[in-house]
Parts: sequence; C-alpha cells; structure tokens
Amino acid sequence: MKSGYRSVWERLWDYIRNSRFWYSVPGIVSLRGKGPSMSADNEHSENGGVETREDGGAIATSSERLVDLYKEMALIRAFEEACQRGFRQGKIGGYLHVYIGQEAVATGFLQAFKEGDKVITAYRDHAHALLLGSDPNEIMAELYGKGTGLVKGKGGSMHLFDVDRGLMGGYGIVGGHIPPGVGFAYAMKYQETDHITQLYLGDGAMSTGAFHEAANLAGLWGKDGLCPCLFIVENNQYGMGTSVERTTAMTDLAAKFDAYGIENEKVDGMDIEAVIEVAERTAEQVRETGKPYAVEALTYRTASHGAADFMEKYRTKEEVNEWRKRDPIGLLEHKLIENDVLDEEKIEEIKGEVKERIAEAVKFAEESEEPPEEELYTDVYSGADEYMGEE
Amino acid sequence: MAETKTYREALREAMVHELERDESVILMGEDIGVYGGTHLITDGLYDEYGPKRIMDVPISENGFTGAAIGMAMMGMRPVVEMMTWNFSFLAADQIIQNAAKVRYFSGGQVEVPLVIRGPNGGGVQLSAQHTHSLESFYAHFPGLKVVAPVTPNDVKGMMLTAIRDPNPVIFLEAGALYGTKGEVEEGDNAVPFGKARIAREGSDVTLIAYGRQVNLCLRAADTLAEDGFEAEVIDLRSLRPFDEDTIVESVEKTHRAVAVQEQWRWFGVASEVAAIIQDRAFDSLDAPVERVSGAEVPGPYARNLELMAFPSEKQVVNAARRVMYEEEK
Amino acid sequence: MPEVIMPKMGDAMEEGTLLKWLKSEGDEVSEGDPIAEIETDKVTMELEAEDAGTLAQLIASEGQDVPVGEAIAFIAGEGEEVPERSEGGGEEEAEEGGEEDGGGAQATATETEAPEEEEAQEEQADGRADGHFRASPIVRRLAEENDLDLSKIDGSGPAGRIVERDVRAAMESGTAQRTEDGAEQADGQTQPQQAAQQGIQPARVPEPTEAPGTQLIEPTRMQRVIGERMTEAKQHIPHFYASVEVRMDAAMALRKQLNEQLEPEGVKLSVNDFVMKAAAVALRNYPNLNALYTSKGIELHEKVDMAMAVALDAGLITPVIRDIGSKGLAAISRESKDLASRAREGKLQPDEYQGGTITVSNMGMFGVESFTAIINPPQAAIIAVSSIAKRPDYDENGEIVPASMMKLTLSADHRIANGRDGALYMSEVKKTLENPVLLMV
Repeated sequence: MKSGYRSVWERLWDYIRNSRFWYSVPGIVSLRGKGPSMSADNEHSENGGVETREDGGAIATSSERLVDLYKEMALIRAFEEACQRGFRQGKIGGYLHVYIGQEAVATGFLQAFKEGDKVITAYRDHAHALLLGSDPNEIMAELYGKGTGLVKGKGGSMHLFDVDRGLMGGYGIVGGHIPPGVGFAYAMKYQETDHITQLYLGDGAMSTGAFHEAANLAGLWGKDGLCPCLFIVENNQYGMGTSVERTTAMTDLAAKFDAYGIENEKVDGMDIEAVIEVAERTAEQVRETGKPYAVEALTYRTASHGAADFMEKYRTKEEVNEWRKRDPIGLLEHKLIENDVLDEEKIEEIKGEVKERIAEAVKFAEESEEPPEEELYTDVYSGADEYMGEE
Repeated sequence: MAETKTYREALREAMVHELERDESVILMGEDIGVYGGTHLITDGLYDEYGPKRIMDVPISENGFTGAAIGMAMMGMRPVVEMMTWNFSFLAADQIIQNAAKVRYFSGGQVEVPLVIRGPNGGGVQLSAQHTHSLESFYAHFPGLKVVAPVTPNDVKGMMLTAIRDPNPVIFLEAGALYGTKGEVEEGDNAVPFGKARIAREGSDVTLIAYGRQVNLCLRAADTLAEDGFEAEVIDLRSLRPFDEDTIVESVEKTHRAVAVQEQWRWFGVASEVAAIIQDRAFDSLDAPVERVSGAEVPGPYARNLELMAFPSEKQVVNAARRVMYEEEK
Repeated sequence: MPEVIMPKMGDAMEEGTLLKWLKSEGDEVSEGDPIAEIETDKVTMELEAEDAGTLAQLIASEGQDVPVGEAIAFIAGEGEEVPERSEGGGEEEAEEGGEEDGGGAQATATETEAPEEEEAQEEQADGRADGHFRASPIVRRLAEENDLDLSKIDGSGPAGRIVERDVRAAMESGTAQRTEDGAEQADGQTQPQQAAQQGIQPARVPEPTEAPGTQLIEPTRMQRVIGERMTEAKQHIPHFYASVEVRMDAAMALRKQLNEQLEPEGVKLSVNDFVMKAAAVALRNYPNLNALYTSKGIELHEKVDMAMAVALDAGLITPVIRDIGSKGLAAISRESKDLASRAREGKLQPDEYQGGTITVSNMGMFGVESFTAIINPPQAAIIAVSSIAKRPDYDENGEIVPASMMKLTLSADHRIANGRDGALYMSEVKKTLENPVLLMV
C-alpha cells in the first residue's frame, strides 16, 4: 500500500465494520465473519482474497454448480468485452454500460429466480438478460441495432426486455425504474401469486427522489404483505464518476432502507457463494412474507462507467487494480483450481467456449438485417391506432 | 335512457362501472379513499371496494404513478388520480419516460393500460402554481393519449374508453365544472377517442375548443347569433388522437376559424389547430386562423387579473368578428 | 344593510342550495348564530350570521339553488329599513358568480390588432403590390373556378385584401369576368353552366325547347370564349358610336395606280389596307383612342398595333399588325394577307393575335351597308368598315355625280374617350382617305 493512499477497499471495509448498522438491526446476518479479512496484516492482495470464511460456515454450493456459475460469469465477461470491442469499432452506438467486475451480483441473485418472478434493472442490464436465458445472439443484435435484436432494434443496450423470461426491462433514467418495480410487486400480490420482483438498483439511484418515494411505498404496502420486492443495491462505489462518499453523508446504503421499514443487509458482491447464500435466503423470505427486503451488494465496476469514459479522472489506476485482485471471476477461478475442481487447461477450455459462443453472437449481429423501415412506426401504441403521424 | 347528472357523478359512475366489470381495475391517489377524494369524485368507493382497490397513497406523485405504471405493465388497470394536474410535474418522469415509451423501447413486449386523471386548468383563484392547462404538454409525447371531455355524458363515456384502452391515457377533467349538470346516458356509453363533437352547428365561422372553453365558445356563439352570425362550435374532446377531419370539414363549410384555449398561446393546441387548417383547408380559408389563448403570465390570484389572464367571451366574439371582417365590438 | 350571501365553500363551487331556514324573518340574530342550512355539491353545512341584527328579509326560499355571492337574506341593524331589491345590480352579481368560470364576460382584455391593420390598409389601399393581389385562399380558389379577374375586385379586408364576400358580390353583379386570354377556360363545361358560375342569372338562359326540328349543339370552345368576351365587353364597356361616310374615289384611283406599279412585286393593295393605314395615321392626334383600359388606369400607346378581325368558319380572330403607322401600304398589304391566310389555316402564334391597341373590322366584302362593332377589350376603340357602293353625290358645282361611298363606324369606350374625340378622329380618318396622298406622307 503506497503511503498517503488509503485504498477504497480499506475505506469500504472500515465502514462495513464500523457501521451502526451491524449493531442496530437485530437478526441480520453479519457480514463481518464472511467477508474477506482486511486487517492490515492480512491483505487480500497477499493471499488472493479467496474464500476464507472465518465463521467456518459450510459453502452450500457443489463443485458442479460452481463450475456452472463460473461459466455463466465467464460468458457475461466475454459478452461485455465483445461489446466494448464493438463499441470501439463503431458498430454499437449510443451508450454502453458493461457489467465487468460486477458479475457475481446478478449471477448470484438470479440463482434465486423462480419462474413467474420479474426482474427489473437500470441500464447496466446485459448480464441480467444473459442470466435469464435470453439468446446472446439477440442481445448482441440489439446492441448492433438490428431487427433481430431482443427488442427489435428499438431499445439498444439500455433497454433489454425479455418479458417471457421475466426480464421487465432495462431503464435509462437513474432511479426511474424503481417505482414501476415496486408496482410489479404489488400486482403480484393483487393477482394472488407467490412471485417476487428482483429490483436491481445502483448506488447512484439511491439519491433520487424516485427511490425514496418507491421505497416508502414498498415499506407501506409490505406492512400488509403486499409488496414482495427484493431490492438489490449494486453498490459499485460510483455513480458515474462520483463516489458514494461524495453523494451522501450517510454512506451505509443498506441502512437507508431502515427509514422505510424495509429489512436489509449487506453482502460481499465479489463472492459468488456469499451472494447466493443471501439471495436464496432473502428471496424466500420475501416470497413468504410479501414484505420487501433489501440487500446491498458491495462490488466494483472495473470497467469504465460507459464505454466512452476513458479518462477516469475520478479514480486511480491503483484503486482499480486493487479491486481487480478481487475480481469475482478471478476469485472463483482461483478457488476452483485450488480445490482441484478445474485445472488451467479446463479453465482455458471454458474461456475458449464462451468466446466462441460470443463470437457467434457477434457474427449473428453483424450479419443480421437492420430493422425494416416500417418498424419505425410500430409499438408506439397498443391496439388499433398504433401510429398517429404521417408515414 | 338518459338522466341529468353532474360531471362529478358521471365520472364516478364510469369508474364504478369498470370497478364492477373488471377486477384488474383499481383506483389510486392521495386522499381518494377514507377522505373520499379532495373533489369527492371517489366518495364512498373505499367502503365499497376496500383498500386494495381504492388505494390511498402518500404524497409522492413520482413514486405512486411509477408504481401504477408497473402494475399496468403486469396487467392491472390502475386509475391514478392527480389531486390536480399541477402536481403531475412531479410524476412527469414516470409518465413521459416510462408510461409513454416503454412499449416502444421494449419492442412491443409490454403495454401500459393506465389512466391518470384529475382536474385540469384554472379559473378559481388558485394562482400561479395551481393554474395550468397541461394538454399540449402531454399531447406532445407519442405513446400517450390525451383527452379533455367537457360534458357529463362525455366524461363518463370517455372514462369508460380510457380504462379499457391498452395505452396510458391522460384524462384531463374540467375541474371547474365538477358541479355542472347534463344529460348522461345510462349504462355503457363508451365514447371513442379521436372523434370531435359538433357542439353547435353553424355556417359562418368555426370555433374550435376543448374542455371548459367549449362552454365559452357556446356563449360566444349565442352572442354572435344576435348579430346574425352562425358559429359552429367544435369540441375536440380528444387531443391525441386528434380528429383533423371534423375541423377540416367544418372550415371547408365556414371558411373561417378561431381556436380557443385556456393555456398559453405559444406552442399550444390552438397553434396545432391552425397548422392543420392551413395544411388541409388552405384553399377554403377566407381569413387567417385566429387563436384566443390565455395571457402569457403565470396564473395571477386577484379575480380581475385572473379573468384577464383567461380567454373571455368578448375575445372570442371579437376574434370571430375579425375573421369575418366585421367590426369588433 | 348587511346582506347574507351564498358563500363559496370550495374552489369549484358555483351555487349552493338553501336547504332550510333556521331562523324566521324578524328574528333577532347575533354574530355566529346559525341562520340557515345550505348544501353545496360537496357538503351540507350551517350558515352563520356574520352580523348582528334583525333577520329582515329572507330572499331565498327553501330548496332554492342560489349562485355563489348572491344575497339570500338581509340583516337589519336598529332602525334600518329593508331596501328595495335592486334587480339590475343583483342580477349582474349573480351572473358573474354564476358563470362557470366566474364571469368570462367581465374580462377587459381585448386584442387590439385593428389599428395596425388600419395603418396597413392606408398604405396599400388597393390591396395590390407589384401585381400581387392580396386575396384570401378561398377567394383565389373561387376566382380560379369561376374564371374571375381579381384585378377587377376591390378588397374590403385588411390592407385591401379581397375576401370572400367581395368575390361573392362580384359574382352576383358579374363584374369580374376574366378578359385576357380566355383560352384558359376549362373545357367540358356548357355555357349555361359557366354563365351560372359567373353570376349571370341563369334565368336569362332558358332551357332548350327540344321542339321537333331543333338540334342542340355544343358551342365550340372558341365560340364560348368569343361569347364570353363579347358579353363582357358589351356589358361592361360603355360604348358610344360615331359614323362617317367616306368618298373613296380618290383612294380607289390611287389604289389602281399603285397596284399597276406594284404588280411585278406581286402586291395587290386592298381597300382595307388603305382604311387601316388611314386609321393609324389619324390616331397620331388622338392618342386616347390608341389606348388600353387597365386596372391601374388608361394606358396610352405611342405605337399603333392594329388588330384586324378575320372571320373563320368557327368564329373569328384578330391578328395584329405591329406598329402599323411606321409601315408603308405595300408592307401592310403583304402582312395583312399573310396574317389572314394563316389565321384561316389556324397557324397563328399567340403573340400574333394578342396585344393590339385598336381593331378594324371589315365586312365590306359581304356588301353590308353599315354596322357597328363590339370593342375588343381592353382596347379603347374599334372601327367597323362597310362596303363601297356607288351613290349619287354632288360635286363642287352642285351637279349630281356618281361616287364611291363607304361607311365607317367607330365604337369607342366612353371611359377613355368622349364623343368629341371620336367625332374629330373619324373626320380625320375621312379626310385622310379622301385625300389619299396624305397616306404617302
């Protein structure tokens, strides 16, 4: 650690350890025992930061499942890297926000997804679509602005929808998707189902009025068991280029849900197993009680905010490198090798497979036709009078 | 069968009709339940349908409108009350960014069968922050439907249509007319959107308005008739979709048109009316289309100033006289 | 005396119902005493007295709807009389309160664009700028459909804009038919249809009798154009006529002499060539007969462009000999023959039969003794040339001698020229023809 430079990582774990949160909310599983040890004499960078569970709790995931999770995360990574290439080549337009570094969060939480559940997120949404089973070809074609895209070339990167698979969309206005997500949850109970809504939001969204209004409604409706909404805060430390500390004096994001009567906890969002444990437990709780629950997953976007964001004046290379050492895929890879589940060769084979799969998606996207011109005018309205202008 | 009812009663009747007909219909808004609604539109419904369907919500327009959008995307049919449309700016992000567009940017995968309703316009000394006519604001956005019924019969019939519509409908009520009475057809009198109503037939000049200004135009038409001029009054009823044909046919007959709106002149509905007429009925025009609009000021409080800020019968009459090349009065 | 009024209890309240009086007339009331129960569209409530005194008069009756702001009772202080109700004032108040928007009619704001328009009107009172007529779109459409000449219609709209009522009036009076280039007429319309559109009373054009021995034929396009233009000319131009009888012996002799000399060149002068040349020469002193009646005034022409009527099987046409005054008889003769023959073959170009400044119509070859012609608008005059006949005449000695006499009749537009101009001009033509040497000068 360079003198005078206190890593974000250090600061982050300081606040997790010291937050009043751990003492004020009874019945919340403390992360302290599960998180990587971050004392000065035991930096994660020295031991790879992997899987030392001080509480000795059993890891509830089989080797096979871990391999599957590894493949899913590797696929997301490969997909996102292909997107970055496509963007640099000018084949992907608009805004592009990749999930690199955050893979364990959605991958872990969607392990708790059951058919009929709904997922809603903001614009960093490729991983969610891939994890819900949307065809990578169609997702890539959407980014390439092709008629074969997941939403027919009308939404692009920020607006992936696969309603049949439960993906109710990516949304482009920070915080704007939170109220509809809460509405989904109310509808699930109104329609007397046992489905839940997984509502993903970033740390930046938690400063918006929409978040606070929606959280208030969720807590309120939850009192009557009418809001089965699992809030998943993907705290990647920055809203674009502004760190959490620079946006709120109360940086314990999970604790903000206390204000609305919503139970909450934190999880190490880089540790896929920790995420899965929290996800499965909290999702079931939400499903059973009809009450909302919030999990703040601490993670880090090792890629830039947007593909066009090269300067990164707001963070140092050192900081990024520190986080890269805790890369969720790297951590899992290390563990799989250490536990003799996979060897280097097998890892390379998996990486080769996903790259091939993504190469196929890129080829599909490149070869697809642009949307037919008449598509300009469709889907404006539902029903008879679809379009009101002159064609 | 028709019965005389107030605008308020007709509106409530439509919502009750749909609450009875369709389980997916719920009402949501501030103080619409236990309190009975600030304007008593939903009075008594809470007792009848309970809190799950008649939802009182905290003062959080953005939050509850957004939640209603989510419910609609899930197949429910929420009817959201804006206590007044002035508060809808707080929900504008939800209405415009989500309700209006989500069908398009999802490639047609979802629909939003949502009604947002409430009193629109000023006129009762509520001053600047509570005096807006928001029709052109919302009608600007593709993906929304915008209607502004003025008669009790239309408010019922168009509410039935609004709730059944699979799209988000901005339902602008003539707040100042809640107590006015009119004949209302019994039962299911659904009035289609996109069809203007000829409120009065005439041959000399066409007065085009919607909402409360229709009544102003009717009074102006009576005054004009005293001097032997027969004004045709068109009640647009629906602004998106917009009934161009009725206007064009009327102007082809009268050759003169005045568009009247309570909202500010610039970028308003009346300008759109004028544009459509010059576009489609240019060769029938005998005079430029006149617009009568509100003064370009925030709504004032004092009664005399407020009256000056809104279109007056005299302004409408004189605009009509000008397009007929008659001396103003 | 304090009034008790129907209070406004909600932002949209317009009227309330007086349900029940809680006090009777003559009761003493204190401030805050409930005096009536009223119902609005939202609530039922008790109305309290705002003043103390005697409830002097109950104006509203139970069950009555009362507009907001209108008095429902009076409270009299000690010794106060109940006032006569002022109907006028009360009504006005009530009306204002009763308006759905609280009295739009009271507004004082009016748009004041009129003064600007008036100014503009002064600037451009005739509505015509650079040949562009201010006319509303419907006026232009009506003009197009009915072949109206907007230059003949005065606009009554702002800045002289021609508006619908102006054109309707013109159609009714038939004062705006287009005169130039009638060839623009729409095909396929019958004359009665057109006439009807042009505001000519349809009653003047009877239905066909369809009697045995009749045949209904469609007027030719040319015939329709001629008909319309002649109708218009005859209806709108105040014609006056001046006839002279010209002794043509000298001219005939000169003609014979010249023709003999010119024979090798293939030139054969006609009487009409002499008449045309004489008419042109005489015009030098009468410029107002070589003129056009235009929308902006009388346009005098220096050069004489003489139109000559040529009869065709299907009608007639008037080719023009340009600047005839500068041309000699031989040239005139050659040109007139060429124009006439090509006219009969239908081979004239439009610029050969448009734009004359005066017309000569000769029916001498048909033996007519005299006739009058209809002015060819917008020209000021036309000269009708009859046949030359041998008549007894007196010579300078008073002896009866045979003479070759020809009648010329001028038709002239009285808006341009007066009778004296016509008479003097015709006598000059006569003098020129009778002393044909003048033609050679």
